[in-house]
Amino acid sequence: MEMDSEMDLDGEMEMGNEVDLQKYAVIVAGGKGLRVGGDVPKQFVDLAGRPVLYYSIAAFCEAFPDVHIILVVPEDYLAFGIALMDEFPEVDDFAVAVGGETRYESVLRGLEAVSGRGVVFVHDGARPFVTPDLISRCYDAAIAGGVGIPGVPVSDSIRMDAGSGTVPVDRSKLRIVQTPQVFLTDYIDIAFTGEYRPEFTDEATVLEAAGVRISLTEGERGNFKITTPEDLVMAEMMMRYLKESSQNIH
Amino acid sequence: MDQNSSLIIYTDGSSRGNPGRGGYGAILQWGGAKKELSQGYRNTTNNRMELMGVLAALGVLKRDGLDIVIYTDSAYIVNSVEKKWVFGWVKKGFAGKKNADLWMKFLDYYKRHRIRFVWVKGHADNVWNNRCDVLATTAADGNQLIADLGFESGQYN
Repeated sequence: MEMDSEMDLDGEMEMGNEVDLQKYAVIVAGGKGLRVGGDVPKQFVDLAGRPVLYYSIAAFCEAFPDVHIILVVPEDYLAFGIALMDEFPEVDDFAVAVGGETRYESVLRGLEAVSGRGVVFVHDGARPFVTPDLISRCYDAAIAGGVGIPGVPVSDSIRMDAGSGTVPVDRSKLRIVQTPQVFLTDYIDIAFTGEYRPEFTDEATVLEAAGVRISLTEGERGNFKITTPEDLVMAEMMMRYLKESSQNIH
Repeated sequence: MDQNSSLIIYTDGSSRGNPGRGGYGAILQWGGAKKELSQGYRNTTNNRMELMGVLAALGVLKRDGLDIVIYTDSAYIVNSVEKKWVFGWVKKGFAGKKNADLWMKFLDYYKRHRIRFVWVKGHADNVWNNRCDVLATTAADGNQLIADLGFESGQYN
């Protein structure tokens, strides 16, 4: 039996093209962020009838039916995470890990469950408006250049605190970075090995510290992160609108 | 996926009837090395087999202080440990809780290593989880069954 399974793997390797690359969506919902209000972290709050987290999983399943889903949740939400998978009977490979103290540590715990070679998507569970289009675009960028990091231009005027006052900043050079942040599994052992550093606010900074050059892929303004109570109100309206308009099409 | 320092354990337990004959399967992976374990029992429970798979894997380790990630499809085990229920059971002397014999052994290992669990969907796409299932059911259906004395004594159920 042991030899059989190893031979099967070799057989797959020989085909050796992109079709065989595995896709791992590490959806990070390990934070205890309660800024949205109430005693439920924002990624588990109800949004138009489903938990916020649900929509990200659905988007990845729609983008890639063969995706491996790895959820990272706080320990109190372990049973919740396990139960949530009942909504996705079509997903063959599904894991739930408990997160750590920092986002970086939570991502490490999710990456531990990546068992094959291919592409990793690290996505904020609090970004429910991620679209299959954006997921595919970041995937294509990662296949072509190793990483796919979505960014969007800044539309507001920006000023920087200069101590004794503020100074304007040229916003044309600025980009807001989103998720999913996508990279080849080969980079995991190279980049995600060291100790946490304060600049590790996302995966791009971790990859960059290991020498990976970060170019950006076109993000989507609708793919915002729910952070404040106002965001949740906005998200509720947007999600209801999207659900109604998709019903009208059918 | 820090495979240089983390020991990876996959386990699965199964029983034919609950209680009934049962078995566990476990696979340890460390770098490129791999070890498989299995055993069948004549009368036991599903949860005991899940736990005994974990204990069997931890039992072969010769060193303490290892970083270990255990993959299991047992929500009973993952929840009990990661949500720290089991520590509450210890404080209350396992009143009304089953499998105290196995949990106490587990907690001894838990103190000696850094152990984390990841819950995986059972009987699915993970090749190692599937292999554990084959090991467990083959052992349960085999003719090398031994007694689960903890269960048969009636003390822990």
